[in-house]
Amino acid sequence: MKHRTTWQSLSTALVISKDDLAPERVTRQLGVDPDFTCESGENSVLDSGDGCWSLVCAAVDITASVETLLQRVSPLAEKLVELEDSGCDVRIDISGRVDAGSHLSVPASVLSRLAELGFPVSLTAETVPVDQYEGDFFDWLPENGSHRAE
Amino acid sequence: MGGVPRDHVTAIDEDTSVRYLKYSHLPWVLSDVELVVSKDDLNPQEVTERLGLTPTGTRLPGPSRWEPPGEEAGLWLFGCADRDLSLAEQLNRVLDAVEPRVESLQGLLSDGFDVTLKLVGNVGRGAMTKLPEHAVARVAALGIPLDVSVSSSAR
Repeated sequence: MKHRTTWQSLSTALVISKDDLAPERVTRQLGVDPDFTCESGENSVLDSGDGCWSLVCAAVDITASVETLLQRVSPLAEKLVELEDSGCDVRIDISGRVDAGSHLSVPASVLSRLAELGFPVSLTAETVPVDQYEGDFFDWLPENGSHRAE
Repeated sequence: MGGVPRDHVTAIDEDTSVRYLKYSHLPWVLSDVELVVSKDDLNPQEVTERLGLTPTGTRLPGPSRWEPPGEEAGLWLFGCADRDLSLAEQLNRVLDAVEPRVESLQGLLSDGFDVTLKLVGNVGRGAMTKLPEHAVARVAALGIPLDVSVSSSAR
């Protein structure tokens, strides 16, 4: 698997959502400014219509991306548990854009850090549209067509 | 892990704030979960005996027309591809079988085998899968990397 590419524009986010979540109340409760929020209802970016509050970090690789987010999220852990207890959905999301043959390897050390925090982890993958994909979807097949033999 | 060097942090691209939220309602489909043991000179029978587990698939080392060039390692696989189960349920099935063998897994790692837990799924244009916190803890306790491999063919 050494030749495969990893996910593009990798980011890691803390996502807090609830059907009637009021972002400004979460900001007050956590004492931290969010990177992104949306009100519940018609204007929500979530298909469920839930309100959302989030922090998001990007870095050169999965280890740095998760660590950068956890530096911001770990001090909030107790308050996040309170939010969870009050009915909020709290998760850490790892997201990126994928193209043919790309895969993401999450090192054991990163899994341990996420496990210590104790919240669900979601993996969100978005496909690179065909017209934006710069490689050849079949470039992993033998050039001489030997895979067709038999 | 210590602090992250400043030059390792990158800017959030303009689509990111939408990307990680807009697929929350779309689950991965056609998922599989697989423990993958590989090594250039892997003998499947040896891995079976060391883990005390019957594999769901094996491949002897050497070229294969189903694998990209250069991927000639032997493989020993134990997975759950039950399509009636969610990915989280498939993961639980594999963990139930693998957890009692964590010492044997660490022994394989020490002896130069690559050992990973592989999550496979089709995400269409975009999709999300969520691992409950207890599943994250169970995977972390194995001490092996998680390999996430999604396909994007049309739903």
